[in-house]
Amino acid sequence: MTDAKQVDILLVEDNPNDAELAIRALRKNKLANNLVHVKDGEEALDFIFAKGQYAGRNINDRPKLVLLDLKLPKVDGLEVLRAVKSDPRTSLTPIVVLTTSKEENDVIESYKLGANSYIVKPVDFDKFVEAVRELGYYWLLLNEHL
Amino acid sequence: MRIRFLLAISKYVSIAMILLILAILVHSSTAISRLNTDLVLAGEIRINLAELIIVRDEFYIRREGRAWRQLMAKSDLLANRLKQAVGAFSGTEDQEILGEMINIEMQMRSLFQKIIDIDDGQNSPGAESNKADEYGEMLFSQLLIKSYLLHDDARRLEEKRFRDLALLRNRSNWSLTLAMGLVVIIILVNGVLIDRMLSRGINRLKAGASRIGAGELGYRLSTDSNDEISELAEEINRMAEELMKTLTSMDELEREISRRQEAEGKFRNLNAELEDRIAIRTLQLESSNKELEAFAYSVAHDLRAPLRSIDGFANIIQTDYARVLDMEGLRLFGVIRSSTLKLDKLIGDLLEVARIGKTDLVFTQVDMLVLATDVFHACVEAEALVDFDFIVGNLPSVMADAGMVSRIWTNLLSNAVKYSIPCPVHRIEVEGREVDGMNVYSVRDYGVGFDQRYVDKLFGLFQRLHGTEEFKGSGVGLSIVKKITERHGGTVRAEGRLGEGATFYFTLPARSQE
Repeated sequence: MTDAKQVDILLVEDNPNDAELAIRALRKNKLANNLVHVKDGEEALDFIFAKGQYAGRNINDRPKLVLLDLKLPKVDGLEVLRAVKSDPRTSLTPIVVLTTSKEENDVIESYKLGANSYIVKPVDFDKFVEAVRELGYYWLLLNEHL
Repeated sequence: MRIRFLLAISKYVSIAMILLILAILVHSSTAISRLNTDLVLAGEIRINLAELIIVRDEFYIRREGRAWRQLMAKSDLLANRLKQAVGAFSGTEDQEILGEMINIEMQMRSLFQKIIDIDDGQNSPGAESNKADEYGEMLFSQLLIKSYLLHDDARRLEEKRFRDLALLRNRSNWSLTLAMGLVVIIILVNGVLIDRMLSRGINRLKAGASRIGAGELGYRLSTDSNDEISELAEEINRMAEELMKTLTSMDELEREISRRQEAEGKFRNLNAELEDRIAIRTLQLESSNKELEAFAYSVAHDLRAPLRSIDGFANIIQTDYARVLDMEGLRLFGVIRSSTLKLDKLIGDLLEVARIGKTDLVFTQVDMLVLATDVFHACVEAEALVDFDFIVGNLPSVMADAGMVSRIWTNLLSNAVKYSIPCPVHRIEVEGREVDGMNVYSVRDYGVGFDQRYVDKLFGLFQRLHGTEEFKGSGVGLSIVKKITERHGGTVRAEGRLGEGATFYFTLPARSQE
């Protein structure tokens, strides 16, 4: 079952409501088939670097897309971003940052650290679904054979 | 008594005494010369008498005519001299002696005559020669006595002259000595007096001057002695007074200077205090600013997360559970969702206001004509159904933050459009000009306008003059305009009339392109 190991999307989101809405938005766009949801930065790093509870994972089985919230417990989003993008084994993993407002310094900082794109989490759920669809298709299709 | 008077006394007394001495000298010398003449006369009389005695003796021996003539001549000479002496000698004693002498001389003359007569009788015939000789002898002896008497008188006269002379000399010597002594005494006494007055006065002056000199400017010398020292003392007093006046004004100057220095010191202290307070306030402000930023951040993140959930799950209910809800239930979920979005909009506006105060301005040359026109078209696009007259006058370009100025235009023009739509005139006028170094821009519309009484509320945060039913908006737009103009160093104001439209003016400093 190599397919079972194949993870399309790693969602890093601590807020369960936001996570549920994001998963729902992805599912509406039929993108949530192989999705793993982790709840903090440490778990995200464990997953990506195949250590801790994910020690059995192959580090080379990179997720096709990481949706990364910036405000996370333990290790925050920017640190996760830095760790992933500065390691040659993982640096090619596309990371889309989830942010509350597009005009924050976080966005600029994220781009500096190598984020591939960002999604502003709008209050309007319809708009969120729209944004997720556009970015999800783009990155998943683009990176299918990476 | 005045010193000058004493000095004058000395001078005049000296002159008087010198004149007196001169007079004494002149007087005594004339007296002496007269006495000398008298003495010479007396001496001549005596010599004359001696010659007469010699001639008499010759006559007595020879009894001849030549001797007789000589005798008579000498006798005449003597008589003349005696007459002369009577005129010259003034003393009573002298006159008595002279009278006696003249008398004796006349007796002698008569004795001579008698002797001549006897001799003439002997020479004639018949005369007794012995008798005549005896008589003649007797006459001669008388003559001898008389001549000795006369000689004695002449000597007395001469001696008296000598005595007079000695007396005169003595007297003139005494008076000279007396006069000299008097002069010396007067000058000495005067000198002592002057010396005493001067030395006392000078001591007084010296003491007073040194007291004044030592700084006791209120001290005054006494001036009641009525002399030159007092006059000098008065002068010194006047000088001291002048000095005091000068010093007083200098004192005042110094006091003024110290007063000013004190004031300056106070002023400096106050300034320092003020600066300290400003520093403290600045610190307080900075900390409260940071708190505000933290608050804004938490508003942005933490308040929005539950909003997202509310909207998201309401949406899920609306879509996934539409079958189990009736129309009213669905509508109510719609109200929840629209309220959520409104709240989200408010939070966004609030964040924008906060950001305007926080972000650094980036100055560039902004072409206001292009910017205003672009913004206007964007605003009208949102209201695609309505036609607007957009009249743009002269709009001077300005050095400003382009993004922020764009927000000013957006807010003002979208307001103008929004409040004009229900009115018949759809016309917006934009113009600008430079006044006193400030660019003044205005946006005029002919919309619903506002009551000028509430103009102060216009620019307040979340302040609205119209109900939300009537016009959409959060009441943040104009406060954003105000904040942006103020950050640029400009101002904003509005004029309006209910039902007749409104004009908004904003100013930006007309900075050069350096």
